[in-house]
Amino acid sequence: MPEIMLRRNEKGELLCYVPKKDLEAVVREVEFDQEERWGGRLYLANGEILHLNPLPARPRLPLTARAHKVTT
Amino acid sequence: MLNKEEAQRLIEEVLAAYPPDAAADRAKHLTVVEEATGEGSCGITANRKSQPGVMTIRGCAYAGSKGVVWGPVKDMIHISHGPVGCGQYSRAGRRNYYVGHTGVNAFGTMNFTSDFQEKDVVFGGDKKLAKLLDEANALFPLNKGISIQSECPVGLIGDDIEAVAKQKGAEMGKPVVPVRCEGFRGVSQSLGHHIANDTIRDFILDRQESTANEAGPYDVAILGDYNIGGDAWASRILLEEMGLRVVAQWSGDGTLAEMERTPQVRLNLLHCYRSMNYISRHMEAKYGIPWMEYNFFGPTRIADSLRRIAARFDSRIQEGAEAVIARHQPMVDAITHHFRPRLEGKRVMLYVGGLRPRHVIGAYEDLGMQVVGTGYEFGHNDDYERTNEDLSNTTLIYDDASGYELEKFVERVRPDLVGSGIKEKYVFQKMGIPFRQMHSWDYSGPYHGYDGYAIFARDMDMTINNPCWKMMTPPWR
Ligand code: SF4
Repeated sequence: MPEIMLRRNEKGELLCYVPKKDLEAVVREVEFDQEERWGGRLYLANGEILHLNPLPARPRLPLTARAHKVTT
Repeated sequence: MLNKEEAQRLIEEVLAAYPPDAAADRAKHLTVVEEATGEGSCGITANRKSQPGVMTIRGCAYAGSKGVVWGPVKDMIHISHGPVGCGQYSRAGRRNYYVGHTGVNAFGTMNFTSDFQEKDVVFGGDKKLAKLLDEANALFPLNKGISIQSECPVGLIGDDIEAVAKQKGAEMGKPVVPVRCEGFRGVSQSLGHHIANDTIRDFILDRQESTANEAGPYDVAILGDYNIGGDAWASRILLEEMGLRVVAQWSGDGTLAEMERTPQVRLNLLHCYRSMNYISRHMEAKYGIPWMEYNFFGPTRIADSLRRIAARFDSRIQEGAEAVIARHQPMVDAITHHFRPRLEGKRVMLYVGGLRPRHVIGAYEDLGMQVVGTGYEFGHNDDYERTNEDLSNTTLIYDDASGYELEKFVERVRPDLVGSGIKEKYVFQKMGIPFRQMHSWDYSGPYHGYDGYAIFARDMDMTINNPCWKMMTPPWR
């Protein structure tokens, strides 16, 4: 379960940073993107998919969380 | 001009000299980015252990912590804890300029070391360290704090520098920071940056003694500018001219108080992403301070950066930024007008560290030059990703290139200028290729900001069009 950090870049895109892997990629899509449920699968620009346990509310960024890799 | 096939063939040719295993490994570190598509360097393997047996240009974690991040904090004493050589041979080599009275209230160019002897390795060096801390503090009472930069043996023998630091810090009432940056940690100086960032977080920012200055609406901090040849000064004046208040410089010409004050700024401006992204991310997460990267090399990038920075503030700052750009335009035009004809079309190969492999490309392009090859000594994947946007022609990319690879590349590409470190300088000069030492600006600088552009242009012209190159016959003629 790698630690990830989510933030917005200058363009307003959601960025996912995985410190362990020095990976910084734009999140193309978030599975649950609602006010009362946020998270699930994060589809990264480089093709990887991470899973973040859905949060009960849209988080305030930056957010540090644990996610795991979804193998497809 | 290199095209993709040629470049690919060149890489294969270079790899052919290695045994199969080494060739397979090195192949992952070399690539070609094609014009326009800008794709290719993302897939590069970076931040891996260097091949045993080949010459690498990398430094060690101690170099990253003491030499880069901590060293320039001028009002603190930085002890090179261990044998004398690590500190002595790197002393003052980076040219981080500062104002202050060396030995009185600033200690930047001095070398403090515990000078480990056999007996310290055998019996442990903690007692010596405690004594050294007391002595240094007594001899230089105006120091604001002390950092202990561990060299290899300290970690190998398992000294407890944390305990010594804690005790002495309490006695002195100053931060005494134990930094576990032994040279053997990690694969390059890069981990040293990270370790140094983490110790600043734990021992400086978390110390919670920061005397909360009145925070202003335009307070910003410059992060990752080490004031090499005065770089940070040349950057700072532009930010101040446009109406911002620069309250901290990390860490060129920086002080402990500036670092302590940084958690109150509105925006962190990050120049060298590689060495200070860790603390920027931390401050964003903990204090909610946004950070952004900028590039102060060459007028195109400077103007772009000033506008992007200004966009984070109100119209006063935005007008200020436009005014700064307008005010410098005649000077920029004059420089470009004078030097561009002398440099137009010249091809450059770079092999440096930190931010330069990508950041200086814009400055060369402003002078009509092309960067045909670039690489990082200790970059990570995120650095290579960031590089793509700066590339505008087919470019050879090499990560952690060995002495052999670099020589071969240069020999075949025959650029008009090579920019790398002091170890490479004389090799290439003897090959008859003009060279600039791009780590500490070859005893020149600053290169940041508009003032830096004037010096940059002059230096490149001086090097490339130096009459001496016509007087020697390079080996291939
Ligand atoms: S690798 Fe170790 S011994 Fe060598 S300079 Fe770095 S800290 Fe010193």
